[in-house]
Amino acid sequence: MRVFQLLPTLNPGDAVGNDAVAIDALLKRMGLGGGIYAENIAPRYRDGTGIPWKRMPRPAPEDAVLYHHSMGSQLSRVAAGLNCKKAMVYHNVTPPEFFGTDFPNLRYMTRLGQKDTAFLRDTMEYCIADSTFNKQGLLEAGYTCPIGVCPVLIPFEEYQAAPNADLIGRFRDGCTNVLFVGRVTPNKRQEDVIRAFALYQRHFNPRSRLFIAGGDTGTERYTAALRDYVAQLGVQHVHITGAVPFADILAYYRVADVLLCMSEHEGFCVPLLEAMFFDVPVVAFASSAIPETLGGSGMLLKEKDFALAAGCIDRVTRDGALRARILAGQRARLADFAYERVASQMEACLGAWLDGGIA
Amino acid sequence: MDETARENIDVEAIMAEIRADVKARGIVDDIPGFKGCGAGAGDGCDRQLEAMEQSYMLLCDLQFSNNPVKRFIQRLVCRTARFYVEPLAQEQSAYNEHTLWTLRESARRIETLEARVAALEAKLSEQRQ
Repeated sequence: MRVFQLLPTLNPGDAVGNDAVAIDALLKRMGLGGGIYAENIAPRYRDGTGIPWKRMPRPAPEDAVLYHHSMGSQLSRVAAGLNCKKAMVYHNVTPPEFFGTDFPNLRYMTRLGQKDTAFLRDTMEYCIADSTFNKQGLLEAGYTCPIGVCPVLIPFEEYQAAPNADLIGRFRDGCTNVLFVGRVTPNKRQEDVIRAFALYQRHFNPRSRLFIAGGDTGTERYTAALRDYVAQLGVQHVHITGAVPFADILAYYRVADVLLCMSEHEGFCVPLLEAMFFDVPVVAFASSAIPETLGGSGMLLKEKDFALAAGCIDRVTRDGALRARILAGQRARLADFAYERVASQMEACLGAWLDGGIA
Repeated sequence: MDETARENIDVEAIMAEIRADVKARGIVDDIPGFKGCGAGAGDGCDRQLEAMEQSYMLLCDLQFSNNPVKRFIQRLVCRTARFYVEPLAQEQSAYNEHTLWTLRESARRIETLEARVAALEAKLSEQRQ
């Protein structure tokens, strides 16, 4: 038996692609690895990690396919039509409403993603949701097949790689560094991060800096609007980095004093765990899967109160005792997502499904 | 998660302290809202537009018959025609998407103009009195 993974886009720095790569390593360990097949493969993964989906061998009936679903794609139909065991890893589809009138293509792709969620409903034997929030989404979409919950599998040892030393040297200068990591896209509400930071810089700490790190392919207009917003507010030292190498991301985490997340839609939110790994306290707005991922750690904002968010940044960066307690809580939470722990969970989910133990 | 780590922090109390501190410093959120793009820009729409939104996208999925012969033919036709029909459907869907958003934008502008007309009429009637 082989287990093939199928997904629309295999991209480094993207939670879905990273999860597929981590699951592939796990499947290989289980002696089941059939490879990752994708429609779009980033150059870094064209070394054989990802293979164009048209080259996927025809699965035998005893083989299995894991389809990673997070957006509209023709691969939904391909996965549904395969004559083998089929399961879906559901990473959530961003609601199209977030893209307003400005991004019709993204609206279209996410609307198609929602339609695909409905289309795939009766074609999957099993689903793995990476949060109970995502599981709830599947239940609301009418899924009746068994649904397991298993967090995103993160090989944390990769974060021990060498960071960009130049960036660390440049930005470890006594300034307070506020960080947000994630694709630049309207559902992540980077404008709200800027707004909260503007209040923090104005009222609490002029010697502060904001990094908004993440790619913006397809949402370049949003990035331009964010830059205009920064200029309009007159807020200083805001770095909107765009897509950056992994070593730079590691450097930003290493110089960060706090991670501020105001996102309004996350199926899991990997940067929260990354911040926990780097001992960066998290201040986050309680939306979608964020409270679940934080699991009681970090500082959770129950409302979008920007002055309160600014106050939280100030407190967590100034009050050493509070910071230490928050970090202790985050470390304890991070243990729940340790690679071996999640790998065992994933192995149990996959094993039960492949052995027919899930009815 | 380790319960002891969580129990050490009374988040509500800390939030209340921070809230009080923010208030004591007289900090008010006077930062102008984002008017750029995306969800923050907001969309006005009525039920007709909502209905259009539910149906603007063309999908090439058929409900196949339960009759095995009919089902076989339908699947055959569907598979052989897909290479031709699917790109057309995508093109049409993209066109519908643009049309829908043009209508939405027009509706929004009409709403704005109506509000302005109403305000001007009110002003005019005040001046007449």
